[in-house]
Amino acid sequence: MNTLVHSGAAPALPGLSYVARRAGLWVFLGVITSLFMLFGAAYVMRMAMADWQPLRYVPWQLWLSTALLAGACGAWELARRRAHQSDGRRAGMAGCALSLAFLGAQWWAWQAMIAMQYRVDGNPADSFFFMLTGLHGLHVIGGLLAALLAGRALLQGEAMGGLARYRLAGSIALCAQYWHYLLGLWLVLFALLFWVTPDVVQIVCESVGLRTPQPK
Amino acid sequence: MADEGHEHGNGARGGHQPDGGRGGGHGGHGDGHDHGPQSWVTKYVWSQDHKVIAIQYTITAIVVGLVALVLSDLMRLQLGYPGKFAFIDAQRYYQFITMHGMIMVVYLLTALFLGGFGNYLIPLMVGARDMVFPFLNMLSYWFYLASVLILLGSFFVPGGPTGAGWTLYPPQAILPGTPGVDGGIVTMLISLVVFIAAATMGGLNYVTTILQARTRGMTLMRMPLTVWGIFVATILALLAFPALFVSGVMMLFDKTLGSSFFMPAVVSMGQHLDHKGGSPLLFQHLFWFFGHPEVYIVALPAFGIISDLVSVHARKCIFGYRMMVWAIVIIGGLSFVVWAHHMYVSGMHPWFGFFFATTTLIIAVPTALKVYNWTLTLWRGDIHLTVPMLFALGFISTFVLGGVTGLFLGNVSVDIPLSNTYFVVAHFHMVMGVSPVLAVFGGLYHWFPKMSGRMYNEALGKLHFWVTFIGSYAIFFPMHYLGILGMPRRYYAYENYSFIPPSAQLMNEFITIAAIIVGVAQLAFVFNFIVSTFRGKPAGGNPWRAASLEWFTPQTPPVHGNWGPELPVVYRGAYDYGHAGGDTDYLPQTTGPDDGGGEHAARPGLAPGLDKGKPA
Repeated sequence: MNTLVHSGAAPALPGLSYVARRAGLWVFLGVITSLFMLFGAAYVMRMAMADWQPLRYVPWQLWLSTALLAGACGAWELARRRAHQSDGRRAGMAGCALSLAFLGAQWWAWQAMIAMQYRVDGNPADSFFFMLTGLHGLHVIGGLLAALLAGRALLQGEAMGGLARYRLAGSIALCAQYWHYLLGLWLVLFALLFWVTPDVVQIVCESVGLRTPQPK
Repeated sequence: MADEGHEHGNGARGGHQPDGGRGGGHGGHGDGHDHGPQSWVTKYVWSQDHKVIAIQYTITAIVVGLVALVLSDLMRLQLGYPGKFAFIDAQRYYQFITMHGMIMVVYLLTALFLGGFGNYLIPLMVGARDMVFPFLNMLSYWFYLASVLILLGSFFVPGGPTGAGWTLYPPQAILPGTPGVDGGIVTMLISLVVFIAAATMGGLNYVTTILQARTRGMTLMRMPLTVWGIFVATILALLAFPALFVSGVMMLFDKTLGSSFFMPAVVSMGQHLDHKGGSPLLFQHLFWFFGHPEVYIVALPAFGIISDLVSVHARKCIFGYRMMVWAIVIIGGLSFVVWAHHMYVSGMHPWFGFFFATTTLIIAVPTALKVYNWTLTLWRGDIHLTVPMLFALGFISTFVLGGVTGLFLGNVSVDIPLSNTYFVVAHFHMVMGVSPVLAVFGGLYHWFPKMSGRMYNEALGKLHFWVTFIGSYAIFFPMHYLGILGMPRRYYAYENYSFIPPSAQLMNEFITIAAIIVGVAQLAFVFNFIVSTFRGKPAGGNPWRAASLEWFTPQTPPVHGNWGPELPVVYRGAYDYGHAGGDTDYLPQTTGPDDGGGEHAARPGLAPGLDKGKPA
């Protein structure tokens, strides 16, 4: 690691080394993982209470938003692979646009849930739905802000030559990594919210001996 | 992700390179925020310099800590002289308890150890020019300041601050009857969420800087133990604060949006509330999953600082450096599997009690190793009873006392009768109140000459130490006996309890007087530091003849960028003391083999010179 910091007489590059920024991102992803794992633990523990009513209605808008986020993820991957070309940078912008569409679709899904009488002050399963999707959305918004800052020079029409282009390519790679994480997180949350039911938890707990088998 | 964006922002302005060591040296540091003439505002207010941010963190933490100190003395006035002070009614008493606890644990100790010491020492000790994400570092401080202001703002919301106790247990925290149920609890939770954001931004910096920006030769196993303590504590913070975030956000939902995560069906003041089915125990698990690592978030940096202080001021290599590092890492790991020992009386499966008691007692092993190693470092050392050393010795004393009572409370069967008594208050104040505060003071007195370039008044420092140290014992030692008598904690008044003898009141009066004396004595510290910052004698670059890197900056106090044109190169650990012969008895970390430091001395695990040089 040190060798990267002290690369001898190499010319000084503007900004941090990509390696340091990537390390920072990995640490940050660790923090988010801890956060959502704890939410997951709270979700399962709350589910054990008698009043839990699993979500039985999956609004179709959630499938749309999943597709949009997967598209954003793919766009960022394309951007990462062609980060030094202008079409790569355009792919990054497409990733941002698809992410905005994802947020819109999530909002739409909220409205659909509310229309079906799922409310934040209703059953805890409903409350968790709004809270977890909302927090995931906030992380998408945070990613968009970061991407906006990273691409600020580009948006202002500055020339993408030399070191600036090199640096932007690094940022694009980090954005791609973050969006892959966001997609994975969303898929886990989606599964957690709709397919982890008290029955599933009971089966898992029985199989590892945490809970005694219940009469059917 | 904001960090990433910021880098780019700087990059667009022509570059910013905190590590700056790519041959270009200082020039490679970039011109994003430094070196050129800076206005007073960019230098001291919107500063991205880790040292300025550290001092901002430190001053803010000390100021808010003084508020919490006053609150504790107000509580003591009620306990020592019940009913004499009309303005301390039961409601205010609970508000004082809550704010005192929360400020001391989170806004003083966590912020000061990580934001203050971490910011100041990490780049200097590992030989970096700054944190790797300076803009994020600045944001971290301003978020922290915002969280402090929001918290203090709760004194001014209708109903005042929350009186739910620092653990904020639902359902009582958000039910009528608890002080501050309207605005106080909401401001508290929002303040905590903002604080967690600040701690995360800072924590990303500390971890990444330690991993990525160490100078040449600064291997992980050559880092001073202070850096190790802060490093592991930061990892704990990054993983544990999310639990507080989760519990805080879910409680905010329960309070403001009417969900029932933690709230069971409740009849409150004769009314059925809309909540139903929630689990207060769930909150306790989440809270203590944060709360217990939090103990080590403040203890591990203290361990590190004490190790450095003991070694420097006893002129001896720290005994068992590698063991000390591993002890820090193991304690950090174990701290995540002991949380339910705070919940023995909340009820749990007996096997869980057994498990958590076992893990709790296991932590005593690496912790005791550290205490033995400090003692062995002192053994036959050339002990200089400087102010930092006094505080370090005081720490070892109070920490051992608090640690041993922890062994009592870690056992389920002993904990149950002692739970909720003053024995617990005495225990945790000794182990995570007084001890870390003594480490804070020791560290501040030790590094103040580097921060300010000046020396403080030694006599005033010693007065501060002795009053604080003896006073802490006078306050907390008798509380063990009050606890064994059965005096419950969290009570506003103790009238008409036949099992509490009248002499307990006399003891409470004594404790109150001691607490007020200790409180007033802190003014000596504040006065000493303020005056010495401007009028103290020049300290020179390395007044303690210390070997670690931060004492070898070209300027004292270090300028922005820390090092001269070239980054320092490290050849050995930070504890090369006790050499006989020559001009000095120590070898700086920068001493290479050609400068008189043999290769044999380069391993920090060994105690070089111990065989040839008897301590003076």
